[in-house]
Amino acid sequence: MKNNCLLTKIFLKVFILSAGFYPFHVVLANSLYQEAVENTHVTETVFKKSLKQIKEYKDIEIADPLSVPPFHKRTVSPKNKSPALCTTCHLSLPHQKDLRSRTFMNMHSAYIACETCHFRPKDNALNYRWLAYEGDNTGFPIPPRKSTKAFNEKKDISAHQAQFKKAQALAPQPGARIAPFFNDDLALILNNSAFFHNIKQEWENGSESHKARIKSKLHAPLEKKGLSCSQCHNQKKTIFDWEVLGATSEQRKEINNNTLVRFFERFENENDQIRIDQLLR
Amino acid sequence: MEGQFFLFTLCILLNFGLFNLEAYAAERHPDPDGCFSCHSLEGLDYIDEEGVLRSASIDKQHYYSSLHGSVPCKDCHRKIQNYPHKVENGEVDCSESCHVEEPSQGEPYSHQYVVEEYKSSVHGKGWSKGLTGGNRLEEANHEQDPSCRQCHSNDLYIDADKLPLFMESFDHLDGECGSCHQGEVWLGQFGGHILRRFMGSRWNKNDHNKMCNTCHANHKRMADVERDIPNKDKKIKEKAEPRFILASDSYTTTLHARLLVTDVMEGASCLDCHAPKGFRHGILPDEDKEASTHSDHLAETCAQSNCHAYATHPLNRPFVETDLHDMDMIPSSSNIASWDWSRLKSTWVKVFIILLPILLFLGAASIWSRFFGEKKKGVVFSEIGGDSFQEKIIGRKPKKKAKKKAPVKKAPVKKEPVKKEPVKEEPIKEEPIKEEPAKSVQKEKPKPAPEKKPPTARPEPTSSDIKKKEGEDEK
Repeated sequence: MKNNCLLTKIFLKVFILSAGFYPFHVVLANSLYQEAVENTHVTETVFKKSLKQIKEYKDIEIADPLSVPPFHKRTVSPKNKSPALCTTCHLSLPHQKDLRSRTFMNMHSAYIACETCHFRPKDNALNYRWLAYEGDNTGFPIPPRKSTKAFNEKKDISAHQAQFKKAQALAPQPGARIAPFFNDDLALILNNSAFFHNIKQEWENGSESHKARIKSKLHAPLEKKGLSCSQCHNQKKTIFDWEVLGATSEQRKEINNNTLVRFFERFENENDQIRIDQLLR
Repeated sequence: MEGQFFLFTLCILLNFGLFNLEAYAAERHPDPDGCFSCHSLEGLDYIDEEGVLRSASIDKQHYYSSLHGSVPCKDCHRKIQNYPHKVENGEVDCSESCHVEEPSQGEPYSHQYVVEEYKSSVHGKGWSKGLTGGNRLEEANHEQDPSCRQCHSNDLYIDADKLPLFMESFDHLDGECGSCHQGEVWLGQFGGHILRRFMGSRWNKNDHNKMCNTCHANHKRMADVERDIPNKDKKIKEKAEPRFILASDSYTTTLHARLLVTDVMEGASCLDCHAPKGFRHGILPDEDKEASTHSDHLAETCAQSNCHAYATHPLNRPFVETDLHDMDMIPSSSNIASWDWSRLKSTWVKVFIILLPILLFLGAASIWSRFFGEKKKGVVFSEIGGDSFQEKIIGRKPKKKAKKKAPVKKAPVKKEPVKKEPVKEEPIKEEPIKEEPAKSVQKEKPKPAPEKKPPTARPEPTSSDIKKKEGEDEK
């Protein structure tokens, strides 16, 4: 009996120690999203809708840069190398249709995981942390950036230079995104997991109806409409704990009292157009 | 007391005035409508239905330092009032005036005169208005002529490589010129503008060529061009010829281009010949009587800026008419050049056509005489070259003939002593080539002579002997 207890203790110690050397999603049995996918029962209506979408789908081929150059110099965004499950099928800039929000949503996708906005299970309270999407620690949660006072308090620059001063990035490392966690476990799936590889194989070899079933299952736990601006940019209550995410008081003020958010909140209907001179009010 | 009050008031007013002056200078920022509240954000990108990556993120720092850095956005994008923007509301007309004042006359600045010149040019069907960020694909796919933005971007006011020189010069401007031209406003409005002019044009000749080559070095694009050729009072549409398609290639072979390639600015750029005057946008087809490259104006064009001052002299007309897009200079391996019928107009072809009948006649005569002409037995007769040439053209006839005839005459005399040799020196029989013709005759004759043939008869040479002899004749 004693020996059995000892063996159990040793086994547990080895298991706990080894956990530190393995990626989170390997240590965990299943992420919350994966469980939700696996437990989904696809209804006939949803299946038919998915099948129709698959049949009507037309692949968009990314065009070469245009021979007519843009007149104004554009800021070049770093290329998205996201290992997110969603961008395997959806484009790296997934928001296309909504004229009003598509550019702003795509901008957010550079530092917010897709699941943060679109995976919001009602029964489970999620918390949000930075997750590495690039580099050696891809798939691991990463600690927030320590605020550097020197950066924020740098005052030996002219007023002209000051207007071009870039705010300190909130993301602790390039490509990092705010991602959902459940009980400290990653709540989403990345494209280097076994689950993803199985789905990919099934998708590639499957018939249209099989694809429709996979699509239905993957999308069932997700919300089509993402978070509204005020759910993150709000002075009173947001889904994020900005302090935990490493935002300085200056950054929190900027996030929670944002001019653009106030402007967007004036839109009541989808087809509204608002005069831009109200932007500065 | 009144005097003190007056002085106090004056000081207040002066201070207020100065303050206002500085405030005026400081207020010259180009974003009164708050457009950069959104457009300065990075990553405002999306992919449209055509798969084109679109970006609404404008580099704010670059814009403020650009040629249009002090032009408020709405001076160009006039109709934009709401968000989301309707595409048509963002359309820009480059000929409109803006709120920036032209420094010397204080009038609203405008590109109107440049646009008018451009509109009358060969490229004039290109867009100068209706330009938006969203319709670049439409322009790229459907427009033959370049729009304003095809060649002009909102570049930096001072190029990065010229900035140190500009800064240095600006200090000088502040110190030296500032002794008379005082005030921030002068420095702000005129200083930079004048300095930029002093530092030289933003575009040098190589920049001109680079701009033109963006389209003209693209053979595929040029092959699709339909040119409007002026013919009497109307214009005729004409499919681009290889001469037009390969204009950039033929230009690069000229001294004009080769000088510029080595940064010798005495060379001539495309615009130096095709748009030497005005705002340098008035390029016209060579066939247009107003064109600087029309034969009526060529001398004047070549003589401009003392490039070739002598070109206007009537005796130098052939110099002026030198073809600077000479198709003969382009390798014939070029696919486009090879099917160009206009190459038949080449001087080389003309010379060849003149010579061709003569060559054909000579060739035919040579063949005819070979088969049907009178043959001289025992003598290898050269129709065109060799001895015949020396005899008929150079005039060495007597000397050569004497040499040739002598051994033939002496040959029968030497028959007897040679008769004995064949038995002793059989191996030598096969080496008559190195000897002179007379000796070879001597050595070969003894072989058949004793048995059958008379002494004058010549033995039939083997094929190798014939070849060797022909070789000797040619020598």
